[in-house]
Amino acid sequence: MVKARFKIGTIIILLAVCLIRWIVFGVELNKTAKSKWHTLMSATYFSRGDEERGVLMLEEALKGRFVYPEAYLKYGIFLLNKEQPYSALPYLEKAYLFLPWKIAIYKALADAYSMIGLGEKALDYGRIYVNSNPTFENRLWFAMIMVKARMFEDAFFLVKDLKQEQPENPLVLTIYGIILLNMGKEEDAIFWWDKALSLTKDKENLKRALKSIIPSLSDNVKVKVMELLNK
Amino acid sequence: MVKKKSLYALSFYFAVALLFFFPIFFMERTFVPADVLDQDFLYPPREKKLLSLQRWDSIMYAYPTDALFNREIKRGRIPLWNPYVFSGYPVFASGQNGFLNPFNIVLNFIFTPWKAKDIFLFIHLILSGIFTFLFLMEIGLSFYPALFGGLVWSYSGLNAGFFSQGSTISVAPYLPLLLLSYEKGIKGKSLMWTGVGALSASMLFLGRHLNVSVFAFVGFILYALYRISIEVTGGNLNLKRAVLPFILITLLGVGISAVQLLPTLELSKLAELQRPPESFPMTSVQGFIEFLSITFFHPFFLGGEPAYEGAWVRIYQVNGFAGIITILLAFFLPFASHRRKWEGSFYLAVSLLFILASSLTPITTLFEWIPSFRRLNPFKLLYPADFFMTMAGAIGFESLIEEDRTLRKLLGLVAGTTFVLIVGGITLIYEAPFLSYRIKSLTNPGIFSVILSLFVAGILFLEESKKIKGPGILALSIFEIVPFAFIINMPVKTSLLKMDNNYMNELKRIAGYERVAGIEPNLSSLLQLYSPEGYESLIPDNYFIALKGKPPEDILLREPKKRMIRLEDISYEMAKLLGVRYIIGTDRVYKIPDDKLEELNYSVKGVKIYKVKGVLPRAFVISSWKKVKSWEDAISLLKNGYNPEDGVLLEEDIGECRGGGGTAEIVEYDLHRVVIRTTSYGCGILVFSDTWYPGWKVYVNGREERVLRAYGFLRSVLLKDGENFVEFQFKPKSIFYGLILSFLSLIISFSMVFGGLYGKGKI
Repeated sequence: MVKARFKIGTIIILLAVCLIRWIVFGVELNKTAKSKWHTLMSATYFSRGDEERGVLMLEEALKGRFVYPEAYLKYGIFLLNKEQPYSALPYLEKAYLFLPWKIAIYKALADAYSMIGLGEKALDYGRIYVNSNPTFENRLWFAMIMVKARMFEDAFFLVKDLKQEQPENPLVLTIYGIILLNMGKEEDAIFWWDKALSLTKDKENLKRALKSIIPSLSDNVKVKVMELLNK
Repeated sequence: MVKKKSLYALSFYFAVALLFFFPIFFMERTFVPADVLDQDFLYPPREKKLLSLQRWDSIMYAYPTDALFNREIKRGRIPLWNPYVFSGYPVFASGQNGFLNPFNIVLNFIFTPWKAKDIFLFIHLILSGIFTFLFLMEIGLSFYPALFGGLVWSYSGLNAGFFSQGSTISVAPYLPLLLLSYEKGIKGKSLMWTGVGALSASMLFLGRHLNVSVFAFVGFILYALYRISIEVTGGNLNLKRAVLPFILITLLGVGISAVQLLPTLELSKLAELQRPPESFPMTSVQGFIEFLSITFFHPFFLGGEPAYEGAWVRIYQVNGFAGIITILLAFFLPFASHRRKWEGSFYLAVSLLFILASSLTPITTLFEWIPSFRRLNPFKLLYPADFFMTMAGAIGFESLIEEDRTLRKLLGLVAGTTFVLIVGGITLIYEAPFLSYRIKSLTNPGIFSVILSLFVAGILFLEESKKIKGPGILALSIFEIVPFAFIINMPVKTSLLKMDNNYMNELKRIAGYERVAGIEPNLSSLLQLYSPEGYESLIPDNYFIALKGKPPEDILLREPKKRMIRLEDISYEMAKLLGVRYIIGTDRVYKIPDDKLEELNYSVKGVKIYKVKGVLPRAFVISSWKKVKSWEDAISLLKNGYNPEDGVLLEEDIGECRGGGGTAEIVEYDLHRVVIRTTSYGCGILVFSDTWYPGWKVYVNGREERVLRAYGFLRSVLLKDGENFVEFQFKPKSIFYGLILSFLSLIISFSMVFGGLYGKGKI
């Protein structure tokens, strides 16, 4: 009788342990559910152009111990868009821990590392992103990551392919020119920039981008680029 | 005695399901994840917390389609076409909606769409339990192991995980029923049970997820092959009793489902670019190891953290949680001395085979004989894997309560426990970085699984009394697996389904037959607004290319957005041709330039409604045309700036057509019938900007004419001079032929059932 009671008691204790576990799960989920609401609401506000409220919602979502993991990603991307890569990185890395299958994280991490000058890491993440989704736009983006990481030779081959696909894309031609410049082919670079300027509808932006690289140019190339920009 | 036990089992499954559905029946709740109707902005989440872990397909796909079905079934018809998405879509042919499931039909006729869905889920939850119980009793298991099997199958990962979508649970009862019918057919009244088996097979295919249904049926085929081999090795030279029922069940089951399968095959052929049959990337060794680690060493395999919404949906697709106890029991089988050992080991082996095949390894190629296999999602092979693991667990349970305390039994339990310990230990280490705040908690599966498996193994080895072992293990299983389903599927208030919204009501009033873009895909079905957008697993290639410009690059379509058409995909030229008169915009990037938009004064809270300038009417008459070689050429011309008003692009030669254009007015617009009154000044071509699809017929003044495919993807017809009444009707031949086959197969199946009941028992 005692033995039977002991056995039944053991089972009952184990049942209680299971029940407690699920209750704790439920409580944690309930708290995560609030974080999730704030994350989705932030997306709503951002899409309606209300950045202030969007950020407030994200900050609410990030409070406490039970954070909906997407909040880390969204906040990290928000900070990146504000050109604050150092602030963004901890959030993006946390997002990566929780959601390693979410491909957007790799792009964000690549951008963040690229902005802070860690080219190798940027390339590692960027490669995963672009291989998972090798659209024209993504490959072009990866080419820019490679250029920022000073991998000009690898970038050259990629951009050459992109140029074949869209020979009159001004952004492609601009990057091509930057690569050629860094490979010592200054005249060729100017040629392609000239073509890009003639094709682009957004001349001001392109001119601004080219102006930003003038300090790194040699004197005679500087003169030629200035002439180009003053056309 | 069996009947009494079956009644007890039925009561048990009913009671557990009722507990699960208590909020649904008594607290005005629903499993439709209505706490977020719209991922973006039109209907932002209203409650202060989002309990639903299911979003995406449940709310973006299943609910709008259910709402459409509910409206139409109350009018006495099954919707074959949905005009509200993709500029018109063959919704019946998608095969994902269970439109022919008898429960679905009756419930939607009586109730609201969410109530019908909830009751449907309730019924199927109970049925999946009881049918599994009956099958396990039939193969000789005792009461508690059979009850365990039914419980685990009903509430296991791949059923509970897709619960609010209703896809897998709609198939769940019919796989065990199919096996039961076959088993009974071999042993006794083969005529009747073959008929029942055929009906079960058809219910499998008429569920809400054809991919899962096909793989579940493959499970049946493997089981049948196993039983046939048993007959052969048992020295039974009369194979008729095992082979003939199998053949008849297969043929008749497919026959009855022909009315659904034929249209789906037709759509599948017209949508090959999205899931091309040639490519099937095999994973690398590294990828395979990663997959195994996600499958076996992920917390979810041991019932871990379900809070990562996107993660667990994916994990459910990958893992199919069947419970730690089930795993322990199943892995004991190779050590069992019980007479059921080999059968149980067969189930375990089949489960492992399906798991390995689901991960895109060379083993996956063993399943290529399945029609269109390379176009299906191989991860769904985990569905039959889950089922067979459950069966193995049930037989392991039977073995363990029957066996005496022996060294072999101890070794078996130690082996199973060690496996769980290793998996749990690796999980503990693997999860430590991102579950650090719960590392010492019972919610950490690495800890909990170890505690549970040690105790369960202890009870199974040390306890002698079956009266304690049986109910004790069953009770532990209930507490292990059922709450999982509770947590994954949180019901929400039905009041959240209300979609009152001032500016949307106003837009509906002004839009009429005009198209609207910028609504979340498929929400237009709920709002009954005509939209070029949508989200489906198969979209006709010509429409897809016309809007997206190219086939999707990710062959396995992991990213749902690749199966969507959204506002961001629609160029001005397409908007013009498709008659997209209004768009709802926010700060999203879209292709229609600002100078083509006129903001209306309904804008509110950052949501703007624009009228698109220069858009063609939904139906227009034009008197010039150009011949193109193919739909691809037509779409290519449009992409390169061809003005549709310069002439209709047609793939057939219609001869000379001289005229001065004309007018067109939509007089009636119904799902399967559109009537347009036209006036043509000379010869004219009426272009109607709904998608072309086989099955649409056209009648001009009552006389049938040819539907011409205009611009590669729209409908048109040649008109003569003067006033004409044009009627488009949807009468697909695939459904007609399917109906004939289905009807004949049904007659034969029912004849077999009643013939077997009242007359000759055997085939």
